[in-house]
Amino acid sequence: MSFDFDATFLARLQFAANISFHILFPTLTISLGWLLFFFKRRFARTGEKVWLDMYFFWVRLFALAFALGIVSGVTMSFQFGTNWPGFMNKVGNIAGPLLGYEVMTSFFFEAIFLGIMVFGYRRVSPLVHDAATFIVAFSMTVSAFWILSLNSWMQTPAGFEMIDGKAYATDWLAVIFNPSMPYRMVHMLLASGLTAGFFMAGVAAYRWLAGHKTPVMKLSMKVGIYLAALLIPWQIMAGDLHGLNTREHQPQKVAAMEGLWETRQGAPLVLFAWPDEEARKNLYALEIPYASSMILTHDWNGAVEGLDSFKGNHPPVAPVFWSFRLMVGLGGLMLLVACVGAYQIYRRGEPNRLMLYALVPMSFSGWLATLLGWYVTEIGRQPWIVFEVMLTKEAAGPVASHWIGLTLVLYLLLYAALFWAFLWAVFVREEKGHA
Amino acid sequence: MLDILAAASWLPLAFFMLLVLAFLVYVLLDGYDLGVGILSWFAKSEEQEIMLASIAPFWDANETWLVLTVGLLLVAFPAASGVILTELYLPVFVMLCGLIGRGVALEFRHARNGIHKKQWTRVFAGASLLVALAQGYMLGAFMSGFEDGFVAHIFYIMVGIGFAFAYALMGSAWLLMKTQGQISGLFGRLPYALKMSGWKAFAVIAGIFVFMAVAAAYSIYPHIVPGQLTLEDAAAAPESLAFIFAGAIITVPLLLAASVYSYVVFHGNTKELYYN
Repeated sequence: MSFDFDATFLARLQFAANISFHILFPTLTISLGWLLFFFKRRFARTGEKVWLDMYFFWVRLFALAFALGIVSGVTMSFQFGTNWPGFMNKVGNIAGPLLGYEVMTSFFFEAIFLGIMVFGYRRVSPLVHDAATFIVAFSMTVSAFWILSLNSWMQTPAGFEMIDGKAYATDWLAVIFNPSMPYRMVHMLLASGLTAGFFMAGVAAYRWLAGHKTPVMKLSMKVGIYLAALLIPWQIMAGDLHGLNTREHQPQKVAAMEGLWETRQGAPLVLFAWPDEEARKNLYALEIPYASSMILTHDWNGAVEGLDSFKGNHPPVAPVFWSFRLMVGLGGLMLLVACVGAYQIYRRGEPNRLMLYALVPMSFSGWLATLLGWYVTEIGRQPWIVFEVMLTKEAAGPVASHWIGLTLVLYLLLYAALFWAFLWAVFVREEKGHA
Repeated sequence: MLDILAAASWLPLAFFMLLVLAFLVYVLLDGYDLGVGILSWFAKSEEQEIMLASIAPFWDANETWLVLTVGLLLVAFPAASGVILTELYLPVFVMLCGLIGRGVALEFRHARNGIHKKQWTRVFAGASLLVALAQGYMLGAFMSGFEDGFVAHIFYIMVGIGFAFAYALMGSAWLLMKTQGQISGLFGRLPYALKMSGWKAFAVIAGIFVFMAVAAAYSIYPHIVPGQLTLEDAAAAPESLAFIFAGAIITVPLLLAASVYSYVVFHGNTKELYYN
C-alpha cells in the first residue's frame, strides 16, 4: 500500500484526527447524561442519598467530557468548510439543513441547560433541576439523530436529484430517514450506552483498587456492568442487521470487511489474513469454508460478491478488514466481561479482584470499538465522500499541503495533551475531599 | 407551506440578515466572556475566582452562537463558505486552538480539587486573548476582500488588537454588572466617578457594536464575499433555505426563551459556584 501525501490525503487525516477525538466525548456523554437523569430520579423516588452522591461524582466528569466534546465539535464545524469546501458546494443543499437543524434543535438547548444542570443545583427547585438534566440528555440524543442522519445520507443517499452537478432535495423525509439511518442510529446509541457502562465500571474499579472504597464506587461498578450486560447482546444483533443493510446498499464495503477478492458461491469466512492490495489476494489466510455465504445469504452455496466486481471503485481493504475484526473481537470480550462481572455482582455484591483488574483496561473498550466501527464505515465508503455521488478528492480545497501538514501536527499535539489531561482528571484520585 | 416559502426571492437576504444577527449576538455574548478571560490575566487569584464564576454557566451557550454563525454560512451560502474558510485557514486554526484551550481550561481548573488551578487559569486567559486577536484578524481580512501583502496584514493585526480591547471593555462592563463594581476591569475608578451602573455601561458598549455591525453589513451588501460573490451567487437552493427557515421560526423563539431563563436563574451578584 502506498501513501502519497497530497493535500487531499492530509486533509482527510486532519479531519479524521479531529472527528476521532471528538466522537469519544459525545459517545460517552449521551449515555452518561441519561444515567445522571436516572440517578436524580432514583434519588427522588427512594430518598437514598447514595444516588445523589452518584450524581455529584459523575456530573463533574460529565461536565469535563462535555466541554471537550463542545470544543472539538466547534472545530469540526469549521473543518467542514476549511477542509472540504467542495462538499458544501455540491451537496450543501442537503447537508446544510441537517446541520442547521442540529444547531437549532440541539446545540443551544444542551449548552443552555448544561449551565443550569451543572451549576444551578442550589438555584432551582429539584424538579426544575431534573428537567434541566433531562433536556441536556435529550438534546444530546437529538444532536446524534441529525448528525447520524447526515452521515447515513453520505453512505446511502436518497430523496434528491442532481441538477448541473449540485444536489437538490426532492423529499426531506427520504433524505432524513435514508436507508442506513435507522440501523446506524441504533448501533451508535447502543455503542454510547456500552461506552458509558464500561467507562463507569472501569473508573470505579480503578479507584476501588486504589483504596477509594466508597458506596459510590461500588454502586458505579454495579450500574456500569449491569448496563453493559443488558446492552451487549442487543448490540451484537444490531451490528449484524446493520451489516446486512450495508450489504444491500454498499456491497463493496462488505466485500472489503470480509476480505473477499473474488465473487464466488460458497464463500469462506476469512478469520485472519493479510490482505495484499497489489496482488489482490489474501496472504496467510485462515478461513472457515462456506461460512461467509451462510452468514450473508443464509445458504451454504449462496453467491457473495467479491472485490473483483468493483475494481478501481472499492475502499482500501486492509484497514477496513482489520478494523472490522478488531471491533468484533472487542465486542466478544465485552460480552464475556459484562456477563461474568454481572454474575459476580449478582451473587456476591461486588466483582472479584481479577475482575477489578480486567475492568480497568475495559474502561476504554467502548471507545475503541466505536472508533473501529467508524473506521470500518468511513474508510469503507472511500473513494467516495458521498457514496456514488461525490468523490472525496472532489471535496478538497485549495489550501497548500504544507499548511495542512503543519496544522495537522499541531492539532495532534493538542489532542494528545487534552486526552492525557482528561485521563489525569478522571483516573487519579483527588488529594482531598473526594466523593 | 415550504413551497410558498421557497418561492420567496427575499430568502437569501433574510439569511444574510440572520447571519449578521447571529454574528452580532456572538460578539456581544462571547465578547464579554472572552473579555473577562483576557482581564483575568491581570487579576488577583481571589478576583479570578469570582470573574470566572461569573461566566462559567454561560460560556458554552455563548460559543454556540459562533457555531450558528458558521453553520448559517455553510448552510445558506455554501459557495461563500468555501472561499472564506479556505482563505482564513490559518487564523481559523489559531482561533480554534484558542477556543479549545479556554473551554477545557475552565473545566480542568476544578479537576482534582484544583491542584493546577493557577496554570489552567493562565491557559484560559492566554487562549481568550488568542481568540480575540484571531477573530479581529479574520474580520479585517474578510472586510478588505482578503487582500494580500505586508500592509494588509499589519491592518488585520491591528483589527485583532482592536477586538481584544473591545472584548476587554465588554468584559469590564459585565464584571461591573455582576460584581457591583468590586471588580471593574478596565474601568478603574470610573464607575464610582460617573455613578454608572454595570448594565448601562454594558448597554452602551453593546450599542456601539450593533451600529458597527449594521454599518459593516451595509457596506458589503449585496456581496457576501466583498468584491467576489454576491448573496444571490452564493445562496443555497430555495427549497433548502425554506426548510431551514421553517425550522428556525419554531425553534428560535424557544431557544431565546431558554437563554433568558438561564440568565434569570443566574441573575444578580456572582457568588462562588457549586456543583452541589
